[in-house]
Amino acid sequence: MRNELKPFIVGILCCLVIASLFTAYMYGKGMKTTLMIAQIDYSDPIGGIYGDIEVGQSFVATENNLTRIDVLFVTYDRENSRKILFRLKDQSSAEEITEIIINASEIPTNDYFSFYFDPIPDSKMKTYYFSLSSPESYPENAISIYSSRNNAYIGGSAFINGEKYPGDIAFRTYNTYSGKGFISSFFEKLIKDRLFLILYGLILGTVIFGIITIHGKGLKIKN
Amino acid sequence: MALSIAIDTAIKKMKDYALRLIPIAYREDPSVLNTLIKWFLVGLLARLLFMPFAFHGDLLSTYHRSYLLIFEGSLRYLNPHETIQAIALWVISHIVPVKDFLVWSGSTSVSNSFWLGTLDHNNIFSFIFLLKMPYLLFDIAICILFLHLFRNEVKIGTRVFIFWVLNPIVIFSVYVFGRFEVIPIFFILLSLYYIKENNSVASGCLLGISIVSRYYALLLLPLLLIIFFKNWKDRILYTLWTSIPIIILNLITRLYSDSSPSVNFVKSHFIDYVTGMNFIIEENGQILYVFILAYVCILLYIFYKGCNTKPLIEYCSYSTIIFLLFYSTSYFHPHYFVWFIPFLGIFYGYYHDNSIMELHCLQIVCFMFYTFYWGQALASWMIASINPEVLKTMTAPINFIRYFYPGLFLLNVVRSIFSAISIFMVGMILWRLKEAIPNEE
Repeated sequence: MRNELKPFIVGILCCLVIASLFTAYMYGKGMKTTLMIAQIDYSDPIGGIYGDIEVGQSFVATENNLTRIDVLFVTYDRENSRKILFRLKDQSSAEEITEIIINASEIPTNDYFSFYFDPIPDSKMKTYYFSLSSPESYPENAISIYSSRNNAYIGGSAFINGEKYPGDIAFRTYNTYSGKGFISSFFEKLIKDRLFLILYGLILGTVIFGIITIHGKGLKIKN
Repeated sequence: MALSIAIDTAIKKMKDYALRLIPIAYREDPSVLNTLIKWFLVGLLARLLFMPFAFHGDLLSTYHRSYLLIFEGSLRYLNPHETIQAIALWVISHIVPVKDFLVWSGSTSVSNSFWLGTLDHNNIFSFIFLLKMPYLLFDIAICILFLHLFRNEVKIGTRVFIFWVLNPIVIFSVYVFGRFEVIPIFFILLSLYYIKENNSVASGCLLGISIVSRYYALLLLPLLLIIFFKNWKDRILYTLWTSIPIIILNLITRLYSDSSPSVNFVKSHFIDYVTGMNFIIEENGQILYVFILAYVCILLYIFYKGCNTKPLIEYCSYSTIIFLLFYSTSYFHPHYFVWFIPFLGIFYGYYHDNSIMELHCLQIVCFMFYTFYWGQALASWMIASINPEVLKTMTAPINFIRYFYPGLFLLNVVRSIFSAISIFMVGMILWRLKEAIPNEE
């Protein structure tokens, strides 16, 4: 029977390996992030980003290891095709931290787009400024960003061409998370439901013991 | 001392009783029984590992309806799976505060914010584990049913049993996604068992119950009528038995609420899904539905080809074909993919066709990508109870793919490959059916 089911079991193992590799790859690429700031109050697009127009937002990082910024884009339901320039600066030193160039065609319709960069170890309590521009775009081939009408985020402001804008851009920031912290937080949660933990452990233990016993000794049956 | 003897005797009695559920032909050979129990425990371990930690918001939605049925007497939700869940919920309500997880206003479908909000609850693991317990019982019942379907054909039964127990699609749909699919599948298989035992009344009623639970079972009725019955009188009688549970349920829900299963069926999205792929023939509204066209062609083929020395095998093979056509031509939710697993398992168990198994493994790989269409909801959110803070905010796989390649385009390519594999499998099964049926035992 073992040989007959070999292709099936090998197939399942292959699927599991692919899934594990994919997950490991995702984690390795800095997907292990957790939310830091979420400015999700928005009503209208801030206006087309093209030519000399530069739209930006300042914010104060509340954690170390800032590594990702999501921006809520508007595509106006058309296929925009020009380059978009994302820049991140430390506002106090005016030092440019990263510059990312993407094509407008990569931006999903009315959805967040994530900009990843190397984690900034000492980001906590520092003020940062990110900006978006697209010199090659023109009004009929330009994206925009959703923004609030009022000052929804008190830690910073939106800017258009360096001028303060009354609202804030819809954005989210993330920092990296350690694997150790992830596991310890899971166990802390598990311990809170102590009775379940004991019963679940017993059930799992019994099943594993059963597998080992049957695999090692076989089952004695009276017919 | 006396206590330990008593415990020992009780364990032995329980073991004997449990073993009695397995047909005698399987018990006669210790190596077969050994194989069955070993793989069953491996499958059980895989199920247990996911049970408390993974679920989709749909699990809360379906149990919310069961909550309304048992605690608020809302009879519009009186259908087999929600009634079974309601009974389970009544028991669970004595252990875990179910109101914290299952009460919200407005639509009976849970919102993402409510679903994600429940993840921080201290009892989330025990609650999710308990909600899936009825599914586990039905799952085990299905395993036993497979052995009884092939009571005297040990090799076939063992292959089908292991195929079901280890199938990742079953584990995903029921224990990761948290859907009740095993309940209608159990009734479909039980109906098959009774038809094999020449009990049309029980078989028809059970198929009717599965239709009320999941409308897709209706696709199996014409197939069953053509393959298992030779004259129209028997076919009409069987249809009458099938319609009994449907009529009873319609009457009850019509009397006590403003809805009925038949109205729900007409309004259901399932109709939209099966008619999704179509060709406009003429601008005056004439449309050709691809799945319906293929489905009727298959029915006519079986009807005029005539059958059959092994109706059970033919029925399962053609059911597999119909579901493969559905998956390749229609939009379907990921948990629907489990619908054809019992039929494919029986086909594989009987023909022992390794090429079909290889193709099924390829399907599973493509299916993993297919789930990416649903973004975070079918990725990190499903296991977010482990660490909500991190997993709720994790980017959806499709967004990640977008960094390297247009994500949606890649998914559509994989979707096309998935359809191609499914259509190729249809061809292989038809080709297999043209060959002489092997005599396994």
